[in-house]
Amino acid sequence: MHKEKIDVLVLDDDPDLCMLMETMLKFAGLNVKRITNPTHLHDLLKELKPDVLLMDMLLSGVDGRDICTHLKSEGATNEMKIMMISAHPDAREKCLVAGADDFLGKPFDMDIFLGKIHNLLTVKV
Amino acid sequence: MWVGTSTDIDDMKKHELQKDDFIKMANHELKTPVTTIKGYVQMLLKSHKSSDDVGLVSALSTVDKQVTKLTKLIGDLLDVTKIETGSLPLNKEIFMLDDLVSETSVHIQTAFPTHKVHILRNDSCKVNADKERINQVLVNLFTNAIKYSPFTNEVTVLVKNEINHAHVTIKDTGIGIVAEDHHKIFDRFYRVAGKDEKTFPGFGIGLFIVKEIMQRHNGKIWVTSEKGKGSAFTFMLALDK
Repeated sequence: MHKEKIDVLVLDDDPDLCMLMETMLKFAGLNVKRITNPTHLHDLLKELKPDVLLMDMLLSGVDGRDICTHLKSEGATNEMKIMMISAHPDAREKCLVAGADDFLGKPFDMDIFLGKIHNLLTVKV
Repeated sequence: MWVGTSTDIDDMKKHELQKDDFIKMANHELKTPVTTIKGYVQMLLKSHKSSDDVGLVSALSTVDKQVTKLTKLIGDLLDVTKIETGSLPLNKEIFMLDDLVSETSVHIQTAFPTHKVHILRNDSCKVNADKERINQVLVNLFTNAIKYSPFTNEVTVLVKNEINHAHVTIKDTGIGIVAEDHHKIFDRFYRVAGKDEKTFPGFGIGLFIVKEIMQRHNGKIWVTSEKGKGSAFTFMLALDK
Protein backbone atom coordinates (compact mmCIF):
# COMPACT_ATOMS: atom_id res chain seq x y z
CA MET A 1 0.00 0.00 0.00
CA HIS A 2 1.47 3.36 -1.06
CA LYS A 3 1.20 5.92 1.70
CA GLU A 4 4.04 8.29 0.98
CA LYS A 5 3.25 11.49 -0.88
CA ILE A 6 5.10 11.70 -4.18
CA ASP A 7 6.40 14.56 -6.31
CA VAL A 8 5.39 13.30 -9.76
CA LEU A 9 3.05 10.66 -11.14
CA VAL A 10 3.91 9.65 -14.73
CA LEU A 11 1.13 8.37 -17.01
CA ASP A 12 2.08 7.17 -20.51
CA ASP A 13 0.71 4.18 -22.42
CA ASP A 14 4.16 3.49 -23.90
CA PRO A 15 5.79 1.40 -21.13
CA ASP A 16 9.38 2.09 -22.27
CA LEU A 17 8.85 5.83 -22.40
CA CYS A 18 6.96 5.75 -19.13
CA MET A 19 9.89 4.01 -17.43
CA LEU A 20 12.36 6.41 -19.09
CA MET A 21 10.58 9.48 -17.70
CA GLU A 22 10.35 7.90 -14.25
CA THR A 23 14.09 7.10 -14.39
CA MET A 24 14.99 10.65 -15.49
CA LEU A 25 12.98 12.17 -12.67
CA LYS A 26 14.45 9.79 -10.07
CA PHE A 27 17.91 10.65 -11.45
CA ALA A 28 17.04 14.26 -10.59
CA GLY A 29 16.25 13.20 -7.01
CA LEU A 30 12.47 13.25 -7.17
CA ASN A 31 9.96 10.84 -5.61
CA VAL A 32 8.14 9.33 -8.61
CA LYS A 33 5.65 6.61 -9.53
CA ARG A 34 4.54 5.53 -12.99
CA ILE A 35 1.41 3.99 -14.56
CA THR A 36 0.64 3.03 -18.15
CA ASN A 37 -3.13 3.29 -18.13
CA PRO A 38 -5.56 5.63 -16.38
CA THR A 39 -7.91 2.93 -15.03
CA HIS A 40 -7.07 3.51 -11.35
CA LEU A 41 -5.82 7.07 -11.76
CA HIS A 42 -8.29 8.70 -9.40
CA ASP A 43 -7.56 6.27 -6.57
CA LEU A 44 -3.83 6.71 -7.05
CA LEU A 45 -4.10 10.50 -7.06
CA LYS A 46 -6.00 10.35 -3.77
CA GLU A 47 -3.42 8.02 -2.24
CA LEU A 48 -0.17 9.47 -3.59
CA LYS A 49 -1.14 13.16 -3.80
CA PRO A 50 1.46 14.05 -6.44
CA ASP A 51 2.37 17.70 -6.93
CA VAL A 52 2.65 17.11 -10.66
CA LEU A 53 0.87 14.73 -13.04
CA LEU A 54 2.93 14.12 -16.19
CA MET A 55 0.54 12.71 -18.77
CA ASP A 56 0.65 11.69 -22.43
CA MET A 57 -2.10 13.15 -24.63
CA LEU A 58 -3.05 9.94 -26.46
CA LEU A 59 -3.53 7.02 -24.06
CA SER A 60 -4.65 4.05 -26.22
CA GLY A 61 -8.40 4.47 -25.99
CA VAL A 62 -8.49 7.44 -23.65
CA ASP A 63 -7.89 11.09 -24.48
CA GLY A 64 -5.55 12.68 -21.92
CA ARG A 65 -7.14 16.08 -22.57
CA ASP A 66 -10.48 14.84 -21.20
CA ILE A 67 -8.72 13.58 -18.06
CA CYS A 68 -6.95 16.93 -17.72
CA THR A 69 -10.14 18.96 -18.08
CA HIS A 70 -11.91 16.75 -15.54
CA LEU A 71 -9.08 16.90 -12.96
CA LYS A 72 -8.90 20.69 -13.28
CA SER A 73 -12.64 20.93 -12.60
CA GLU A 74 -12.55 18.84 -9.40
CA GLY A 75 -11.84 20.49 -6.06
CA ALA A 76 -9.60 17.65 -4.86
CA THR A 77 -7.27 17.83 -7.90
CA ASN A 78 -7.53 21.28 -9.44
CA GLU A 79 -4.43 22.59 -7.71
CA MET A 80 -2.25 19.72 -8.87
CA LYS A 81 -0.03 20.81 -11.77
CA ILE A 82 -0.48 18.89 -15.01
CA MET A 83 2.13 18.73 -17.75
CA MET A 84 1.06 17.02 -20.92
CA ILE A 85 3.36 15.52 -23.52
CA SER A 86 2.83 14.44 -27.08
CA ALA A 87 4.53 13.85 -30.42
CA HIS A 88 1.39 14.99 -32.27
CA PRO A 89 2.13 18.16 -34.28
CA ASP A 90 -0.99 20.07 -33.18
CA ALA A 91 -0.91 19.02 -29.54
CA ARG A 92 0.43 22.05 -27.71
CA GLU A 93 -2.49 24.39 -28.21
CA LYS A 94 -5.04 21.60 -27.67
CA CYS A 95 -3.49 20.53 -24.37
CA LEU A 96 -3.23 24.06 -23.01
CA VAL A 97 -6.87 24.69 -23.93
CA ALA A 98 -7.77 21.51 -22.02
CA GLY A 99 -6.26 23.06 -18.90
CA ALA A 100 -2.70 21.72 -18.85
CA ASP A 101 -0.25 23.93 -16.93
CA ASP A 102 2.54 23.15 -19.37
CA PHE A 103 3.28 21.11 -22.46
CA LEU A 104 6.34 19.27 -23.78
CA GLY A 105 6.70 18.03 -27.34
CA LYS A 106 8.30 14.68 -28.10
CA PRO A 107 11.13 13.97 -28.62
CA PHE A 108 12.47 16.18 -25.84
CA ASP A 109 15.81 17.17 -24.44
CA MET A 110 16.37 15.77 -20.94
CA ASP A 111 17.47 19.12 -19.49
CA ILE A 112 14.39 20.88 -20.86
CA PHE A 113 12.16 18.09 -19.50
CA LEU A 114 13.68 18.31 -16.02
CA GLY A 115 13.61 22.12 -16.14
CA LYS A 116 9.89 22.17 -16.86
CA ILE A 117 9.11 19.72 -14.04
CA HIS A 118 11.28 21.74 -11.66
CA ASN A 119 9.39 24.91 -12.61
CA LEU A 120 6.04 23.29 -11.90
CA LEU A 121 7.27 21.98 -8.54
CA THR A 122 8.74 25.37 -7.63
CA VAL A 123 5.50 27.18 -8.47
CA LYS A 124 3.62 24.69 -6.29
CA VAL A 125 5.94 25.46 -3.35
CA MET B 1 -12.89 22.98 -71.75
CA TRP B 2 -13.00 20.73 -68.74
CA VAL B 3 -15.22 21.60 -65.82
CA GLY B 4 -14.70 19.77 -62.54
CA THR B 5 -17.85 18.37 -61.02
CA SER B 6 -18.56 18.90 -57.33
CA THR B 7 -17.99 15.17 -56.77
CA ASP B 8 -14.49 15.38 -58.27
CA ILE B 9 -13.64 18.40 -56.11
CA ASP B 10 -15.09 16.76 -52.98
CA ASP B 11 -13.00 13.65 -53.68
CA MET B 12 -9.90 15.79 -54.07
CA LYS B 13 -10.58 17.60 -50.79
CA LYS B 14 -11.20 14.28 -49.01
CA HIS B 15 -7.95 12.90 -50.46
CA GLU B 16 -6.05 15.98 -49.29
CA LEU B 17 -7.48 15.66 -45.76
CA GLN B 18 -6.59 11.96 -45.66
CA LYS B 19 -3.06 12.73 -46.81
CA ASP B 20 -2.77 15.48 -44.22
CA ASP B 21 -4.04 13.17 -41.43
CA PHE B 22 -1.68 10.40 -42.52
CA ILE B 23 1.34 12.71 -42.47
CA LYS B 24 0.43 13.95 -38.96
CA MET B 25 0.04 10.41 -37.61
CA ALA B 26 3.23 9.26 -39.40
CA ASN B 27 5.03 12.18 -37.77
CA HIS B 28 3.67 11.12 -34.37
CA GLU B 29 4.52 7.43 -34.87
CA LEU B 30 8.06 8.17 -36.00
CA LYS B 31 8.75 10.62 -33.16
CA THR B 32 7.55 8.27 -30.42
CA PRO B 33 10.35 5.66 -30.58
CA VAL B 34 12.86 8.46 -31.26
CA THR B 35 11.83 10.01 -27.93
CA THR B 36 12.77 6.87 -26.00
CA ILE B 37 16.08 6.43 -27.83
CA LYS B 38 17.06 10.08 -27.31
CA GLY B 39 16.05 9.98 -23.66
CA TYR B 40 18.08 6.90 -22.77
CA VAL B 41 21.13 8.14 -24.66
CA GLN B 42 21.02 11.46 -22.79
CA MET B 43 20.55 9.59 -19.48
CA LEU B 44 23.61 7.44 -20.25
CA LEU B 45 25.65 10.51 -21.27
CA LYS B 46 24.83 12.22 -17.99
CA SER B 47 25.58 9.18 -15.85
CA HIS B 48 28.88 8.54 -17.69
CA LYS B 49 29.91 12.20 -17.82
CA SER B 50 33.08 11.58 -15.76
CA SER B 51 33.81 8.18 -17.28
CA ASP B 52 37.33 7.24 -18.39
CA ASP B 53 35.80 5.22 -21.22
CA VAL B 54 36.31 7.79 -23.98
CA GLY B 55 35.03 5.35 -26.60
CA LEU B 56 31.72 4.87 -24.81
CA VAL B 57 31.15 8.61 -24.31
CA SER B 58 32.05 9.29 -27.94
CA ALA B 59 29.68 6.55 -29.18
CA LEU B 60 26.84 7.91 -27.06
CA SER B 61 27.47 11.46 -28.32
CA THR B 62 27.35 10.18 -31.89
CA VAL B 63 24.03 8.42 -31.28
CA ASP B 64 22.63 11.60 -29.68
CA LYS B 65 23.73 13.65 -32.69
CA GLN B 66 22.20 11.20 -35.17
CA VAL B 67 18.93 11.11 -33.26
CA THR B 68 18.81 14.92 -33.41
CA LYS B 69 19.39 14.69 -37.17
CA LEU B 70 16.60 12.12 -37.51
CA THR B 71 14.22 14.33 -35.52
CA LYS B 72 15.01 17.23 -37.84
CA LEU B 73 14.31 15.12 -40.94
CA ILE B 74 10.93 14.05 -39.53
CA GLY B 75 10.15 17.67 -38.70
CA ASP B 76 11.12 18.84 -42.20
CA LEU B 77 8.78 16.30 -43.82
CA LEU B 78 5.96 17.58 -41.63
CA ASP B 79 6.81 21.18 -42.56
CA VAL B 80 6.53 20.32 -46.27
CA THR B 81 2.98 19.06 -45.67
CA LYS B 82 2.07 22.12 -43.62
CA ILE B 83 3.37 24.37 -46.40
CA GLU B 84 1.32 22.49 -49.00
CA THR B 85 -1.87 22.82 -46.98
CA GLY B 86 -1.11 26.48 -46.27
CA SER B 87 -0.93 25.87 -42.52
CA LEU B 88 2.64 26.70 -41.55
CA PRO B 89 2.05 28.82 -38.44
CA LEU B 90 4.29 31.75 -37.45
CA ASN B 91 4.81 32.92 -33.85
CA LYS B 92 6.28 36.38 -34.28
CA GLU B 93 8.22 38.28 -31.66
CA ILE B 94 10.65 41.18 -31.62
CA PHE B 95 14.28 40.09 -31.30
CA MET B 96 17.81 41.02 -32.37
CA LEU B 97 18.74 39.10 -35.53
CA ASP B 98 22.47 39.66 -34.92
CA ASP B 99 22.19 37.92 -31.52
CA LEU B 100 20.44 34.97 -33.14
CA VAL B 101 23.14 34.74 -35.84
CA SER B 102 25.85 34.75 -33.14
CA GLU B 103 24.13 32.01 -31.12
CA THR B 104 23.46 29.87 -34.18
CA SER B 105 27.03 30.26 -35.41
CA VAL B 106 28.32 28.92 -32.09
CA HIS B 107 25.91 25.98 -32.23
CA ILE B 108 26.92 25.19 -35.84
CA GLN B 109 30.63 25.46 -34.98
CA THR B 110 30.14 22.94 -32.16
CA ALA B 111 28.10 20.58 -34.33
CA PHE B 112 30.50 20.77 -37.30
CA PRO B 113 34.09 21.03 -36.05
CA THR B 114 35.43 20.25 -39.57
CA HIS B 115 34.67 23.81 -40.71
CA LYS B 116 35.50 27.22 -39.29
CA VAL B 117 32.49 29.55 -39.05
CA HIS B 118 33.54 33.21 -39.40
CA ILE B 119 31.22 36.12 -38.68
CA LEU B 120 32.62 38.80 -41.01
CA ARG B 121 30.01 41.43 -40.20
CA ASN B 122 27.13 41.45 -37.70
CA ASP B 123 25.19 44.74 -37.77
CA SER B 124 22.59 45.35 -35.10
CA CYS B 125 19.19 44.42 -36.62
CA LYS B 126 15.89 44.42 -34.73
CA VAL B 127 13.24 42.29 -36.44
CA ASN B 128 9.69 41.11 -35.79
CA ALA B 129 9.68 37.48 -36.89
CA ASP B 130 9.26 33.87 -35.80
CA LYS B 131 12.59 33.36 -34.04
CA GLU B 132 12.44 29.57 -34.18
CA ARG B 133 11.72 29.61 -37.93
CA ILE B 134 14.47 32.14 -38.69
CA ASN B 135 16.81 29.92 -36.67
CA GLN B 136 15.63 27.04 -38.88
CA VAL B 137 16.56 29.10 -41.96
CA LEU B 138 20.02 29.85 -40.58
CA VAL B 139 20.64 26.22 -39.59
CA ASN B 140 19.53 25.00 -43.04
CA LEU B 141 21.78 27.46 -44.86
CA PHE B 142 24.78 26.78 -42.60
CA THR B 143 24.28 23.02 -42.88
CA ASN B 144 24.11 23.22 -46.68
CA ALA B 145 27.18 25.46 -46.84
CA ILE B 146 29.19 22.91 -44.85
CA LYS B 147 27.70 19.86 -46.59
CA TYR B 148 28.49 21.16 -50.07
CA SER B 149 32.05 22.19 -49.27
CA PRO B 150 33.66 18.89 -48.26
CA PHE B 151 37.10 19.85 -49.57
CA THR B 152 37.31 23.32 -48.02
CA ASN B 153 36.94 24.24 -44.37
CA GLU B 154 35.51 27.72 -44.04
CA VAL B 155 32.02 29.21 -44.02
CA THR B 156 31.33 32.92 -43.51
CA VAL B 157 28.29 34.92 -42.48
CA LEU B 158 27.50 38.63 -42.87
CA VAL B 159 24.59 40.54 -41.36
CA LYS B 160 24.00 43.96 -42.92
CA ASN B 161 21.59 46.61 -41.75
CA GLU B 162 20.29 48.10 -45.02
CA ILE B 163 18.08 50.79 -43.36
CA ASN B 164 14.69 49.05 -43.89
CA HIS B 165 15.88 45.47 -44.21
CA ALA B 166 18.40 43.08 -42.77
CA HIS B 167 20.46 41.14 -45.30
CA VAL B 168 22.04 37.93 -44.07
CA THR B 169 24.52 36.15 -46.35
CA ILE B 170 25.99 32.72 -45.68
CA LYS B 171 28.86 31.90 -48.00
CA ASP B 172 30.95 28.84 -48.72
CA THR B 173 33.79 27.98 -51.08
CA GLY B 174 32.44 24.59 -52.06
CA ILE B 175 31.16 22.91 -55.21
CA GLY B 176 28.92 25.80 -56.32
CA ILE B 177 25.73 25.70 -58.42
CA VAL B 178 25.32 26.23 -62.19
CA ALA B 179 23.25 29.26 -63.19
CA GLU B 180 20.35 27.26 -64.67
CA ASP B 181 19.72 25.66 -61.25
CA HIS B 182 19.71 28.89 -59.22
CA HIS B 183 15.90 29.11 -59.17
CA LYS B 184 15.17 25.39 -59.30
CA ILE B 185 17.01 24.55 -56.07
CA PHE B 186 14.19 26.24 -54.11
CA ASP B 187 11.61 23.85 -55.60
CA ARG B 188 10.20 21.04 -53.51
CA PHE B 189 12.22 17.81 -53.76
CA TYR B 190 14.52 19.32 -56.41
CA ARG B 191 18.03 17.95 -56.35
CA VAL B 192 20.72 19.15 -58.73
CA ALA B 193 21.31 16.49 -61.37
CA GLY B 194 25.10 16.48 -61.62
CA LYS B 195 27.13 13.32 -61.05
CA ASP B 196 28.92 14.85 -58.07
CA GLU B 197 25.80 16.46 -56.63
CA LYS B 198 23.98 13.13 -56.51
CA THR B 199 26.60 11.74 -54.14
CA PHE B 200 25.39 14.09 -51.42
CA PRO B 201 22.62 12.92 -49.06
CA GLY B 202 19.31 14.76 -48.59
CA PHE B 203 15.61 14.86 -49.51
CA GLY B 204 15.79 18.12 -51.44
CA ILE B 205 13.31 19.93 -49.16
CA GLY B 206 15.55 22.18 -47.02
CA LEU B 207 15.66 25.14 -49.41
CA PHE B 208 11.96 24.74 -50.25
CA ILE B 209 11.16 25.16 -46.56
CA VAL B 210 13.59 28.09 -46.24
CA LYS B 211 11.98 29.87 -49.21
CA GLU B 212 8.49 29.37 -47.75
CA ILE B 213 9.52 30.67 -44.34
CA MET B 214 10.97 33.81 -45.98
CA GLN B 215 7.86 34.30 -48.12
CA ARG B 216 5.63 33.98 -45.05
CA HIS B 217 7.71 36.80 -43.53
CA ASN B 218 7.34 38.89 -46.72
CA GLY B 219 11.08 38.45 -47.16
CA LYS B 220 13.21 37.05 -49.96
CA ILE B 221 16.00 34.58 -50.50
CA TRP B 222 18.37 34.21 -53.42
CA VAL B 223 21.71 32.66 -54.35
CA THR B 224 24.80 33.87 -56.17
CA SER B 225 27.01 31.03 -57.22
CA GLU B 226 29.24 29.58 -59.89
CA LYS B 227 30.01 25.92 -60.39
CA GLY B 228 33.25 25.05 -58.63
CA LYS B 229 33.50 28.45 -56.91
CA GLY B 230 31.17 28.20 -53.95
CA SER B 231 27.78 29.74 -53.15
CA ALA B 232 26.41 32.71 -51.25
CA PHE B 233 22.82 32.45 -50.02
CA THR B 234 21.26 35.76 -48.94
CA PHE B 235 17.94 36.31 -47.23
CA MET B 236 16.26 39.63 -46.66
CA LEU B 237 14.00 40.39 -43.68
CA ALA B 238 12.22 43.64 -42.88
CA LEU B 239 13.51 45.54 -39.85
CA ASP B 240 11.14 46.34 -37.01
CA LYS B 241 10.33 50.06 -36.90
